[in-house]
Amino acid sequence: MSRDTARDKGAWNAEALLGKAQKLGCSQAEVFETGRVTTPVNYENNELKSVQTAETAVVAVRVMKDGRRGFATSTRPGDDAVVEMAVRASQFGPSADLDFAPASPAQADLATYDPAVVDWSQEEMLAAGAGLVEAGRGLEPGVLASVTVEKSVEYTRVATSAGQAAWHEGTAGVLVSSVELVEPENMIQTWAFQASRRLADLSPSVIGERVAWLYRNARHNVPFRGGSYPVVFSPAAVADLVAPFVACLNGKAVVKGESPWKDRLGDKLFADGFTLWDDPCLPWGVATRGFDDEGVPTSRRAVIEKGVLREFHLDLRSAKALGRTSTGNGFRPSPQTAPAPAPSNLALEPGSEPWAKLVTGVKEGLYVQRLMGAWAGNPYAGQVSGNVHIGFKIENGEIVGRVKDCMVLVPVFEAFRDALLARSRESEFAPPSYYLPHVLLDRVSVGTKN
Amino acid sequence: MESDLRRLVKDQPADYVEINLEETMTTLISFRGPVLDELGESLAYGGNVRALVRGGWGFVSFNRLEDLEGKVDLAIRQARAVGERKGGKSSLAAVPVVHDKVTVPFGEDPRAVPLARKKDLLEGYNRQVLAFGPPIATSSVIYYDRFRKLRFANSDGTSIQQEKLDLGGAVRAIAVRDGQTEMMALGFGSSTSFDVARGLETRIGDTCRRAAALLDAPVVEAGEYTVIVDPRLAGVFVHEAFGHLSEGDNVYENPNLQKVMAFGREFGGKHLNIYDSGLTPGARGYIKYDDEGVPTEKTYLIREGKLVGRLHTRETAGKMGERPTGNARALDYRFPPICRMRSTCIEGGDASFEDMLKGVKRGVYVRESYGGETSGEMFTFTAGDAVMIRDGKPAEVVRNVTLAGNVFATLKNIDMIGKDFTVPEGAGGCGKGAQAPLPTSMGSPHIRIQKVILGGKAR
Repeated sequence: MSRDTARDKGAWNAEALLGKAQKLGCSQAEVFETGRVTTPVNYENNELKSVQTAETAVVAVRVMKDGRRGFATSTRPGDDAVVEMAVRASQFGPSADLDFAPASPAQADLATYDPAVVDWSQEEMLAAGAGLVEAGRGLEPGVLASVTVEKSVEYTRVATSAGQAAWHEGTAGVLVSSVELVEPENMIQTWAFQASRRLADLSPSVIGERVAWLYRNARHNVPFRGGSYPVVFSPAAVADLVAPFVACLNGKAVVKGESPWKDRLGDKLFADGFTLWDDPCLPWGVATRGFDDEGVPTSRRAVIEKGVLREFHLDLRSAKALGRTSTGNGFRPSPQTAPAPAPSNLALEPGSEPWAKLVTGVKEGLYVQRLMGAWAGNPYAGQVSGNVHIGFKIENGEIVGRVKDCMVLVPVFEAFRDALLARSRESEFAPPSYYLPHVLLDRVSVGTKN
Repeated sequence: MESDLRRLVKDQPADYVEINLEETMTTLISFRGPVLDELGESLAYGGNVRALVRGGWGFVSFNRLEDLEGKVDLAIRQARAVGERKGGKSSLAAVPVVHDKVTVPFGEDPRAVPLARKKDLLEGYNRQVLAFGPPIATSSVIYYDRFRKLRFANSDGTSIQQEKLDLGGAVRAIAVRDGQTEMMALGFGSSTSFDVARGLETRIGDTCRRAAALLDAPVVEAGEYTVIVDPRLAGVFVHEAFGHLSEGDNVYENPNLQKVMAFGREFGGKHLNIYDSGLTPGARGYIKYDDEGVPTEKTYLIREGKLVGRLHTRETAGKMGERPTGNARALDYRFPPICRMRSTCIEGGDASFEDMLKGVKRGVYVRESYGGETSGEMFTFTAGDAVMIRDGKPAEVVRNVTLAGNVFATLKNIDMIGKDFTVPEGAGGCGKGAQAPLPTSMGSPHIRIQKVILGGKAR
């Protein structure tokens, strides 16, 4: 898909679909179309395994007819029967509880499309992967390295009967590198991840060094006693800690009364050092885009500013229910599902110190690189509980070895109010689209074997 | 059409080629709070070609079904680029050549139930949750059904047309008081019949009461406990902790793990039997053929405590010289098949629940599941709610119970297996790589495990 032909063509004719909806008696209609070509190169267990190409395109149509809303999607290119499907669904659908986006210019000139990603050749991707595999397997005999090097090119179009016609093109590159060692009574798996819309941001050497640093620290197990400790969380682990914030900031959860913060806008709930941005403008960020999946222009906003709850993530529907306007946070969890409130690039305001300083400041505690299973559980309760997948004991400011069979419980709403000691000045992307620093929390509960 | 597909992949310059075409219709209905949230239909239409050359794979997926020859060529070119670098050897386990047409052994066909009737049924459940009254503040009800038509052919000469059904849902009750939110959910699911969505009223009442009770429940104290695990959570445990470790793609290129997972090694007591089966009609993990066209089976992983089997794709079986088991599964046409579970179960034993309570001075009875995760020998999963056991008797409800541990130690620490085997189905499914949620089932009776680590507040 070249840049120009995609703009001309896409896989569906949005104008024709809107016209058909009108002809079928719909009072409003919206056409969302997105397409993507993804090319991953995979190395598994020290060996090149596969080269793949995945080309997908989806159209999603929402209509309002006779006061009800209908929704349907199709991946059959050019198919206009999707409009009839949406009209059929509208007979039993929810009441017409939103107005589709009016004509309004999306934010322009955001950094989302890097031709260097498109031009990244299979040979170059294979070479990047091979280098990472070599670095991984060289750590010690018996180590198995697995690497994915991936590029993707995507487009998204939103057109509405109210005149909106938004078009986005983006690129993305991803590096994932992991190493594994299996011993009779001990397994080590460490990994590192980089994602950016710009090729120049991907650095195999940085990823390789990160994996090696984690591996070396994980190589020796040390005992650890359960209790309450200061803990440094890596950006990947902080992603688990902010997940309950995302759940409670969700406009839909606010409308339904599930969020404990529905009446708390303007209240100081957290520490001064806690500022959470929704930043769709972040240059080359993985979720950077000028409009959301409902065609509403996006903008950079603090949702929590110096501990004060400022704003929810609102899509068109939750905004209307709350008597507000959409914040441009209507995103589709997958192209086949309807939009719901979600952050774009969720960025936690960084601190001033290098992350290594967070570690040197701890007398006795943990460095948690990744938690396991911490996504499970009730997000509105704000209790993040996870198994420490890769975590290290810190003694007098130094990492002394890996801890295993260790659980942490972080009541995150209280922790980011009372126990936020420091944030690092560096931030990194963690899936899905969170841009986070290292965080040092005090008094974290750690459970271990008796 | 089938002969066209066979022709496309026949006599190609590759060690193996397969093609899959899919047309899937999904219906989704959800309530959240008092109003209908979403109701819609999705058509998924597309295909893929996978090719193998000298041990290297190429894979192309697409929505446009024009120029299938071109897709076959691209997949082979990719496979060759990989295979030539590797200079390896393709080794797929031999399987029977199959020509078959598979239909769903329907109970009640969900496609015959009008959309309006489905909506009314779910609306009734939603009203029941909301009518419970305070502290139940809100609700969610989701339901989906997905009917898939698949056509498969490979260069060995196999061609299969399959229809598959997956349906499921969940009803959630959410209790709110003084800024605290707690919830409980129930799930249902089937591969053959809509009737599992009916008659949920009693379970919904129980779910509401338990969600409300969590508001008063203290957070469990962190530490090591004897736990009794209900069938749903025990199913998640066997899936997460042992099922994933039994997947051949983890093992086949990992000599060290092969030593750990050697057949005959003792993993548990004589009472421990674990299997993974594709053969249970009705279970969400029911499949007659996997996505490489291999007939499925009931595969014992552990018999009387000893490792006796593992789960294979044709490649992992071929490379290890073991029997193919029909465990190659793809989420949909966008993905290549990888080694996945079907219905993974701990077989029933002879203990009663009362037997298990006996002698437990300070333990926890953990119930229902929020999900789990595994990595190598470590696992973790989260219970929906839990009850303290004190001096052999159920005591107060506690919340935020997350269990973790080492797989090998934990299997050995299973000291009792109940006789009340069930396969509690639910919505959702298994995730591996980017492929989620894949319909799988998990079954078990109640089991008792010694020395499990629970996350919670520090003592």
